[in-house]
Amino acid sequence: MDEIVIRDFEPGDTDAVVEITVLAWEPIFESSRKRLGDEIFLAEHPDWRASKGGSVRATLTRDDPARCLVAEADGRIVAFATYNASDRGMGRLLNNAVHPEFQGKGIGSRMYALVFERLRGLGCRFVRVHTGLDDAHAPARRAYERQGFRMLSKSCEYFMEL
Amino acid sequence: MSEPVIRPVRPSDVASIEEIAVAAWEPVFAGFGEAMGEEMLRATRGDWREEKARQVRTACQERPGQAFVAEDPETGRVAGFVTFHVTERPTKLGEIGNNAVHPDFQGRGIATRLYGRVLERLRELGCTHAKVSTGGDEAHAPARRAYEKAGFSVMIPHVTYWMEL
Repeated sequence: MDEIVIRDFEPGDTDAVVEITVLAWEPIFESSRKRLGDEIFLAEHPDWRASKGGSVRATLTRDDPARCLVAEADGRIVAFATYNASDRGMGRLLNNAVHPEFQGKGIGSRMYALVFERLRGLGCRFVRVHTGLDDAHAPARRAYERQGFRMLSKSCEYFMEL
Repeated sequence: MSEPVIRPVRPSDVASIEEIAVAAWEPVFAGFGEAMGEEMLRATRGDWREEKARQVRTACQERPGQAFVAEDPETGRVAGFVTFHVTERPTKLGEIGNNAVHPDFQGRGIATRLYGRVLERLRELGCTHAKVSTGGDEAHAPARRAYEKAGFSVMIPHVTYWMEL
């Protein structure tokens, strides 16, 4: 495999990051659709590709954008990790994903290591990350637990038809 | 003991609602404190009591049509409250927000009645679905049971991880 370079996000990376978002979240939303049923799922996510891709695009392009690292392989963006730091010393790892064709190669771990380094540099003493407890998020949970993340709290999102 | 009356929120309820909210979230933040250490909880979350009080105060003052209280008819005390809001995406989806019952009034089905009133209102407003988020820990087991009793039939579980840097 070509050498992977981790670097700061640049505005020209936006489309590639959004594309990876949509590819990487496909199994997550599919799992959610099965659990909720089509009717509730579509009410909650009428067009998940547009809304998820759009929310990541918005976090990168708004006036006060989230910080973001990307992984580049031979000039192609193959992964990204967004994060931010609160003024009280708590960092947050936000939306992050590796392109499905490049998963399982340790790219995520290398990005996380650099995110943590950056957060330390910003004065953070802790970092939090939020993810799903369903089967579709098992790879994400394993990745976070490998980094040393421990469970802080569990939560539930309930739905019903009216 | 007479049954509490469910009615829309009034400006004079706000102080009681803030007090009930803070009391209800004490065990939740105590759990975070155990996991992270009290000092780190304060360092990273700031004054959660003030923040929680501000959330319910803002909801009641700025969106009084989207909050109900349960009032004890004998004493006039506020026994519990619930806030909610509606989003259009474009289907109208109702969401139950902050809510709690005062410890003196717990275990009497008041939360279930408050949720029932919100769901009725959401139907009137044309919502086809409702959602609510709650904790997955032991302290929230009564809340989860009350939501399930109110008809919340499907659930997606989430987790928050943390680590020292």
